[in-house]
Amino acid sequence: MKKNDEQILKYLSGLMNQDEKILFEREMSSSSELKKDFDNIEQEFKKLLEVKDIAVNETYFANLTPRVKEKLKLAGKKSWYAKLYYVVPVTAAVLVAIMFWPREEITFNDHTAQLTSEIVNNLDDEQIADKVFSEVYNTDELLIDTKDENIFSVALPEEITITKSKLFSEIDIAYFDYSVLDEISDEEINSIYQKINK
Amino acid sequence: MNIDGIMNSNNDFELVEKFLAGDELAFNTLVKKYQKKIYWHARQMLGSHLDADEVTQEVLIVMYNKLKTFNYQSALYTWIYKIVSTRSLNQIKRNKIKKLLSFDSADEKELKSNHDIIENIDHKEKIEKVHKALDKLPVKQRQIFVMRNFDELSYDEIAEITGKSVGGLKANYFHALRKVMEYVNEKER
Repeated sequence: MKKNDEQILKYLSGLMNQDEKILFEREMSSSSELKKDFDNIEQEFKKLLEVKDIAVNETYFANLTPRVKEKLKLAGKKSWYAKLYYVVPVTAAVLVAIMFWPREEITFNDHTAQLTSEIVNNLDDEQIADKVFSEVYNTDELLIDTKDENIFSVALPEEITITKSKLFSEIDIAYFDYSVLDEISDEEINSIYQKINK
Repeated sequence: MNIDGIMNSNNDFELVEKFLAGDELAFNTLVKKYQKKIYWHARQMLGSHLDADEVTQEVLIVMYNKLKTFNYQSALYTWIYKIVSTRSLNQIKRNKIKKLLSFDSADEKELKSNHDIIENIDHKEKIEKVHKALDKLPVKQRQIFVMRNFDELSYDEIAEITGKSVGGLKANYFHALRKVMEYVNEKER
């Protein structure tokens, strides 16, 4: 690069402010060397930019619109089909995620264990009766297959037979007793107690 | 914008409205008006006919599909230049990746140099020379050089298209000119 080139390129790229521009133009009109360098650079660029008007095969541009229209038509036909590329894998992924998503499962045994522990640790007799009727008594799975014969045959002596119907009637009486207690006053309970003591 | 520019823009707006109302011929008129500008911008940026052709088609397809989003706040050619310059930059990135991964085989290179719409050998040589000079420039400098010299856009128009400040563009253009000059001088030695 010649020493004037930097200034000339600065001028051509518009990097000079108004004062610098006026000064440069004044200098160029007085310096033949600067003017010559400026003309050379301008000439070089002109030569390089001659390609702006070169001849091309016009068939290419004549066929461009039909080619683009053809592509657009094909793209339109493919659009619903292309959407499947996204919809199918996304749906499959969601289904797989749902299938394998970790779930909190309460099994029958867990439920029974939980209930038992609650009964043993926290409830008094009356609440136990309530629990039996609200949760165990109504749970068909507990006794659904039990036939009406001695249901405790293994645990009880031979002469004692407790059938399902008998067990339920006993539970009913027990529950009724607790329910009755709710309905009578402390004084009445006290008087019954006195009578029994006599 | 001068009177010609304003009338030109109004004419473009009319064509856009006609096209959006379903007149396909209005779109054809717009294509005829801008296809060469689109092609040559892509060609100067990318250096090969095949790449320029790909980008030109992409731009026209985008125009067809997205003209409904054109907001009439700027001239249509500014909107089109935004698309073509972005697409050209994307194509340059794609070519770089291809080159890096060696997907751009020798056959493909030969295909690129054989396929051309420039038939005159002298003209081909001239354009080759320009491409070699432009190839020395970083992409952003090349973009400004092409817009200033081949697309004949003002700094304000380039700033609107690229979203860069005029000062920054001038500085970039200065560096681009210097590198092109150095290349030309080297060739002459």
